[in-house]
Amino acid sequence: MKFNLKFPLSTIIAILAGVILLLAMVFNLSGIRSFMLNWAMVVAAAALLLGVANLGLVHVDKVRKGENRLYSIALIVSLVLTFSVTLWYGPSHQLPQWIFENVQLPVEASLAAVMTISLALALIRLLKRRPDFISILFVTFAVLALISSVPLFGMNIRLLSEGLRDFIQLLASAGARGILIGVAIGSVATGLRILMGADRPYSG
Amino acid sequence: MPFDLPNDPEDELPDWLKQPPDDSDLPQDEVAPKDEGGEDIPDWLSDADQAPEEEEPEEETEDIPADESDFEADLSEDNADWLEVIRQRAGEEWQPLEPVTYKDGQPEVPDWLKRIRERQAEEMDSQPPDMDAEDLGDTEEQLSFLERIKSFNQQVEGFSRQAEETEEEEAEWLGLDQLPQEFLGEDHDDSEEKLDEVMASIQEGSKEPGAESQPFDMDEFTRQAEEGFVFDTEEPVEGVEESPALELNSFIESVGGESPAVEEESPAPELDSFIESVEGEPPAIEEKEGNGPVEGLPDEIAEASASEEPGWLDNFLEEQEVTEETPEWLEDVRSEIDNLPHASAFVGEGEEFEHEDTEKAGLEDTSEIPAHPSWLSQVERETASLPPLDDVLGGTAGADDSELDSFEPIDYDLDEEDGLDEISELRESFSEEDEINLAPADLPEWLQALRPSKERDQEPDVEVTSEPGEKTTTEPDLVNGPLADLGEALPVSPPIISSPKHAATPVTGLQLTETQRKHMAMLEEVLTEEGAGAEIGEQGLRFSARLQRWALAALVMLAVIIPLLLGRGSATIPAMAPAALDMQQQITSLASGDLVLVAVEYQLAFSGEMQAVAAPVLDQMLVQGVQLVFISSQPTGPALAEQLVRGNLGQHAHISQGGYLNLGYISGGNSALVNLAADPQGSLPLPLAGGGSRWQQAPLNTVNTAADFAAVLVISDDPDNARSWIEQVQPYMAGKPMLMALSAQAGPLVIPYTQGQPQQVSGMVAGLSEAASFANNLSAGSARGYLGAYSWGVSITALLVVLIGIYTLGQMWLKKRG
Repeated sequence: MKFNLKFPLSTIIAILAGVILLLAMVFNLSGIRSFMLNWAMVVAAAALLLGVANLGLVHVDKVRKGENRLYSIALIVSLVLTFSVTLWYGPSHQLPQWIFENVQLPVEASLAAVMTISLALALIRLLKRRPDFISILFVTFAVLALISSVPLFGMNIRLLSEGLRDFIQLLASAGARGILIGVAIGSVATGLRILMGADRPYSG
Repeated sequence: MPFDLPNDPEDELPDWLKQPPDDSDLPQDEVAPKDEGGEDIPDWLSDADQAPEEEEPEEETEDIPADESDFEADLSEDNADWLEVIRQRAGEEWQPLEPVTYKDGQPEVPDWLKRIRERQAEEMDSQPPDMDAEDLGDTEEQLSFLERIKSFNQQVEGFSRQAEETEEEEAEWLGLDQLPQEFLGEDHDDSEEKLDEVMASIQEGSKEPGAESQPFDMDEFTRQAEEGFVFDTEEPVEGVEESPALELNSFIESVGGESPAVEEESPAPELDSFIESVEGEPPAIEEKEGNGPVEGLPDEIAEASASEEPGWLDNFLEEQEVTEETPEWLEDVRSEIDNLPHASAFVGEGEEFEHEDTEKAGLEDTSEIPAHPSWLSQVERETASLPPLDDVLGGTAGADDSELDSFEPIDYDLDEEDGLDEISELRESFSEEDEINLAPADLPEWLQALRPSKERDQEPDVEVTSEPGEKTTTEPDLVNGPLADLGEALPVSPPIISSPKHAATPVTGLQLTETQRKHMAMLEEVLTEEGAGAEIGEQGLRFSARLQRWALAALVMLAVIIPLLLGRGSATIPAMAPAALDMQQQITSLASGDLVLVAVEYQLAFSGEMQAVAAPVLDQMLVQGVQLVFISSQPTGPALAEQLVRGNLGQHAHISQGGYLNLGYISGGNSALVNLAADPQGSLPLPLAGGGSRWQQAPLNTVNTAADFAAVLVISDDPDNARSWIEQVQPYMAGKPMLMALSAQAGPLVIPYTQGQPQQVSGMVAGLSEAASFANNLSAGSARGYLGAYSWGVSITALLVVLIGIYTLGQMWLKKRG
C-alpha cells in the first residue's frame, strides 16, 4: 500500500500543528505543548530507525547488483554486529563502548586530521590558483586567526597574541552578530511561511 | 393525401371557406377563466356551444356533416368533397414535389433531427412514474407533433400539410383521439370546417404575446425552427435566388390568398398564409394559457366537456396551470435548434447547395427513426404526382427543395475522433494560409546591427553535404528571412537531442573556402599545442603537488611531535579570556551536591579537541562536588559522554564510583530540547527494570524543569548546536547559569551571547588555548600538554602559507613583468 500524503492534507496537518504549538508556547499551555513535543520526539526516533534500515537496504541492493560489493558487505556486517551487541548488552556496556572507542572514534579522528592537512594545503595553493584580491584577503585573515589562537611557536608575545586575539575576536563577534540576526530573521520568516503554507519542506 | 390546390381557388372553394369568419365573438386576450362548474377550462372551451351558431351559417354545413354523431366518422374519412375536387384538378397539373427519401421503409432524416428525437425519446422515457398515462400520451403526442413540424419545415413541404390532413389525423395530433368516445359522440356535430378552425385557432393563438411562457409553446418552437432553417428573405444569400418561404408565399398568392410577410413573426407563415388563402383570415381565438393540441380544441368541444370532463384533461390542464415554465424537454429542443446553424451561414458567395451532401449526411440506419405520421406520408405520396413547384409558379420560385435538402447540419456534439479530425483539418488549412500570407519580418535596427556581416557573400558559395553526392538545400529563411546569416551560429537542433554519434562521424565531401581552411589549420595547431602543454604541466603539477604534500605533512608532523616529546614547557600558557573567567566564577559558585546537566553535542572527529576543552571544566566541577547528569541530542553523544568521563575524569572518586547519570540520547532536535527544558520527566521517562522511574529516585527526584539544575554545561563543536541550547533551553533556566565548552571554530559565533546583558551564556571556554589557560591550576585534562604541539603545528602551518603565498605572488609578478 502506498500512501500519498501530499498537499493539501500534509499542509493542513503542518499548519495546524504549528499554530497549536505556537499558541501553546505563547500562552504557556504546558499540557498541549508537552503532548505535541512528545509526538515529535517519537516521530524523530522512528525516522532515525527508518534511516538506519534504509541504509542497510541500500547496501544490500548494492551487494545484489555487484556495485562495490566489498564495502557494502563490510558496512552491513558492521551494522549488524554493532546493532546486535548494543541491543543485547545495552549502550553503557564495555563491549559496545570498546567498539566505539577503538573503531569508530579513531577512524573519524583520523579523517579529521587528514582534513586539517588538506585545508592547509588548499590554503597554500589558493594564491597560486586564484591570485586576486579576495584570495589574498582571505589568506591574510586566515593566517591572522591561526596566529591569534595560539602562542606563536610556543611563545606568548603579549602584543602579538593578546592584541591580535582581541582584534580577531572583535571582527568575529561583529560578523557573528550579523549572522545571528540574519538567522533570527530568517527563522521567523521561515516559520511564518510554513505556518501560511507557502513553504512545504515536508512535501518531499 | 395529396396536396391539391386548384388554379383558381376562389371558384373551387366552398362558400364557408370564402367567407371570412366572424372573430368578434372570440376574445383575443382573455385568459380562460374557470367555468361555473369549477373546472379549469378556458373560455374557448366553455364557449364551444355558442361559437358554431354564431360563426358559421347554415349553408356552410352543406359539405360538412351536421350530425354530431357523424363527426367521428367524418374524422376517419380521408377526403372531403371539396378537397377531392381540388386534388383532382391539381393532380393534372402538378408534378410531385421533391420526394422524401426513404430508407428501410422509414423517411430519411438528418442527423440533428435524429439526435433530437433520440434525446426526446430518452427524456420521455425518464418521465416521472407518477405521471398519468393519459398525460404521458399527450406529451408524446406533443413531441410527435413537434417532430412533424420540424421535419415539415426542414423539407419545405409543410405548406401542403394542412390541405392533406384528414380529419382522423387532425384529431390525432390535436388529441381528439384521446377523448372519450361519449365525449366525441355528444359534442361533435362539426365538420372539417371546425377542424380547420381549430388549426387556425392554434396558429392565431400562437401569435399572442406571452406565448413563450406557456408550457407547450409551439409558436416559439416553430419560430426558432424557421430562424434556424428558413432563408432570410429580406437579404437573400447570393447563390440562392429565393427562399422556400418566398416560394411558398408566391404560391399562396397565386392561389388567391394573402401572402403574409415572410419576415413576419408568425412561426409558421406558410401555415397561416395557407389558412388565410382558404378561409380569408384565420379565425381569431382567445388566448389560451396552454397552446397545445388540447387547448386548441374548439369551444364546442369545451362546452361539451364542461359537464363531463375527462380526468386526463383535468390533469393536463392543472399541470399546465401549475407549471408555467417551459418543460425541460422543450428547453433542450430549443437549445438544440438554437445551436443549429442558420442556412445563410453555410452558403457562400456563388455557392449552391448540393443534394449529394445531404444524402451523404443522411443516416444509413434509419430503422430507429420514427416514421412520419400517416397524414404526412400520404401527402408525400400523393404530391409525388403533382407538377414541380417551379413549373406551377412559372419557374420563378428560386431555390428548390434540393437546395434546402443540401443543408448539412453541423454536428456540434462531435465525438472525440470527429473533433480531432476537424481540428486537424482546420489546423492544416490555417497553416497553409499562414504560410501563404506570412509577411516578411521587420527586424529592429539594433537587431540588424547584431547580425553577422555578409562576408561570405563575397566568397563563392559553399555547399555542405552530409554525405557524398547528397547536397543539402539551403533553407530560405536562413538566406532571406530574419535568420539570415545566422545559419552558422544557430544549431540545427538542440544539443540535448543531437546524437553524439553524429559528431564522431567523419564528414566527407566538405567544400570549404580558403579562409575556412586556414582557420581550421590554426585550430588544429592550437589544440595540438594545448594537449602537449597540458601533459607537461600535468607531470610537473603531479611532482610539485606530491612534493608539496609530503613537505607540508612532514613539517606539520614534526611541529606536532617535537613539542609533545618536549612536554609542557614547549608553550607558554596564555592569559584567560574574559568568558573563561566568567565560567570559572560560575563553577566555583556551585555548591556540593548540585546537579549540573551536561550536554554532549560534538562529533567523534572533534573528540580530541573537545575532550581537551571539556575535561578541565568537568574536573573543576567535580572538584566542587557537583553531580553530573549527561544527555545528548546526538546518537553518538551517550557513548562520547562515557568515553569523556572514563578517559579523563577517572581520577575522581565520584566518577569511579559511578556517581554520575547518563540519560542517553534524546531525539527530536530543537523540539526535544524545549520539551526537555520544560518537562524533563515527560520527555525522558527513564523507566526502571523493577518498576517506577529514575526521576523518582535521588538525585533526579527534585528535577521538574531545567531550572532545577544548578547549571547547564554544553560541550559542542558546532555553533548551531550551541545556539539551539541557548535559544531553546536557556529561557527555562530561570537565571541559572548556562556554560559552554566549545571548539575553537564555534567560539566566535557564541561570543555575542556572552556579551549581552543579561548574559544568555554565563561562561565559555573555546578552543585549546583557553582550555589550557582554564586548566592551568588544575590537574585534570590534557590541554596543557596539547598546547605546545598545537601551537607549533598551527604556527608552522601559518608560516608555510605565508611563505608559499609570497613566493607564488612574487613569481607571478616577475612573470608579468617580463
